[in-house]
Amino acid sequence: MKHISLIMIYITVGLLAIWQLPWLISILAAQKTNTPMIVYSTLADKFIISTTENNGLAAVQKYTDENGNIYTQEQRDSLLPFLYWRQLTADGRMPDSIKSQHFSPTDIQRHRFTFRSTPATVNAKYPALYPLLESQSGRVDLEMPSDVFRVSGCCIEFIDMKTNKIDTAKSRKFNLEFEKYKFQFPAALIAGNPTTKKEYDEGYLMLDSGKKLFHFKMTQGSPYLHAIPLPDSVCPKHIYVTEVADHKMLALFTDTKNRFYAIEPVSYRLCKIAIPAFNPETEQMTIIANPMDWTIHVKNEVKSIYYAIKTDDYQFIRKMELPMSEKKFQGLHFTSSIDKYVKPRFN
Amino acid sequence: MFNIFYKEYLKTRWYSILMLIAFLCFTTYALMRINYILTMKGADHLWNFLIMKDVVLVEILEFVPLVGGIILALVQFMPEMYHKSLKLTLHLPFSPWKMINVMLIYGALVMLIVCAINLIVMLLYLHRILPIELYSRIVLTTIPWHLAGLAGYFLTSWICIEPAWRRRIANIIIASLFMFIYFLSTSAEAYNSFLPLLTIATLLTSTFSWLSVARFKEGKE
Repeated sequence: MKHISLIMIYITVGLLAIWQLPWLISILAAQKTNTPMIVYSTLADKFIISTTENNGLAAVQKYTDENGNIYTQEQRDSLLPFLYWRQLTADGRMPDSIKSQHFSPTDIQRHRFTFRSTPATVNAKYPALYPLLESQSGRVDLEMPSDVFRVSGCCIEFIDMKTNKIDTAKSRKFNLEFEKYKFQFPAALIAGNPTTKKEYDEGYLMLDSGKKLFHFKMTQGSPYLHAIPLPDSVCPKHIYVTEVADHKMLALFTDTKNRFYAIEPVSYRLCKIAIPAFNPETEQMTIIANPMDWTIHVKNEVKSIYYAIKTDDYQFIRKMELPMSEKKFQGLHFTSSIDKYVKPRFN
Repeated sequence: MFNIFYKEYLKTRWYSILMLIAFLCFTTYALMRINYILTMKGADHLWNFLIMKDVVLVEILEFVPLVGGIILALVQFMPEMYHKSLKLTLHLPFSPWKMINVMLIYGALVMLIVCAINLIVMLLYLHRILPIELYSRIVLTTIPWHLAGLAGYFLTSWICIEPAWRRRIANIIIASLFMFIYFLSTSAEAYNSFLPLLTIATLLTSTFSWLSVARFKEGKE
């Protein structure tokens, strides 16, 4: 008994040591890192890098491009007119046209969007209950519904939140639509943005168990279900319903081979985005989009890659790579930056 | 064996009742807060909050089982050490290992019963107002906290039985670091995949007391 106890205590102390010591070393060796802001400039055809440097007394902003050319703040603003159009307009320096195209402030605002995906949010587990907003209420403001739906192994069920009971009439009505489109239950994937903090609602994208993709929303109280044709080689794995202001994109998604796609609304045309790969489970992505191009930033533990992509056809323009300087100490970890789970992992 | 159980019962009965009342008070308070949101802001607000946000609204219960478990071990073993009656207990015509195991099983059973009653009360209320996806999320989030109560009980017993103060301080440091594992995240269902292993690790902490008993019998001070 004594020996068993001793072995258990030694194992515990050993595990605590390989957990706590790397953590302690990483805290002691921690250095402040300034992440630069890097955005593609249509006018310069280069990535513009904005960094904050500490010279001991105060933070100093530095603006350069990928070749090391140094710019003033005003020059940086002029090189990125879609990002700093308000400053340029205030200074009276906003150009009449950019690459021979005229853009009004409204155009710029409508075609701009930012998108962010982090492994922590992608790997998080949320309750499998989904509020379905009315997408054609006739009102300007969206309203949250009084029920939520769940997709079980055989059907879709609407649960009234006030009574905590299934709304059988509504469930039956929606199930008829699902039967009509031969939706194979249960759903393998459901993605949407159930919030009123957006301009309009496009409902959900659902992947059925037969790996067919559907667009599902509610219009004037009735179900809207539409199959989205996909090539056999494309099977969505992570979907983001984007609901961007210019209505030019329904969703972004990655497939099982980590290829990145956009789906256009109405026509449901599938467009491959010209970046080599993106794994949302381990990599972070940020997109800063404007009417002419997107700057896509993909970051993982090893490197930070910036891509410039054309807005119209998602074709590749330019790429820039930076190594990641963060050191990671090997040992036992219970938490991770790529998910919110607590579990032992040796890395 | 039943005599030992009875002895432990006599020592801890009032504290056990007090612990149960304290647990139920905290649980009732947490459920009253949920009921307040339900009454003042409506069911849709409560549901959407639980669906969209990474919260379970019973976070106030996080350290309650741990405190309960630590105090239970103190109530059970401090008098034994103070009156030096553990020496007598361990010299009874009964295996000292069985003796300490029966004492620990008694304490663990008290913890399990109190935690089970606590969870049943929570479930009885929550299943009326929430669907299974939401109330199971709340209950699963509280499981590591309840396991922490059990681990807190076993580790405090280990510290109490240890006869030497220097070793006792080392035990406190090891136990404190170990207890951190139960409180590394407040995210809902963060521990789900770790729960089976954490349960085994929690039960294995009961073996630590065997070393303290051996050292106690050897007369270490």
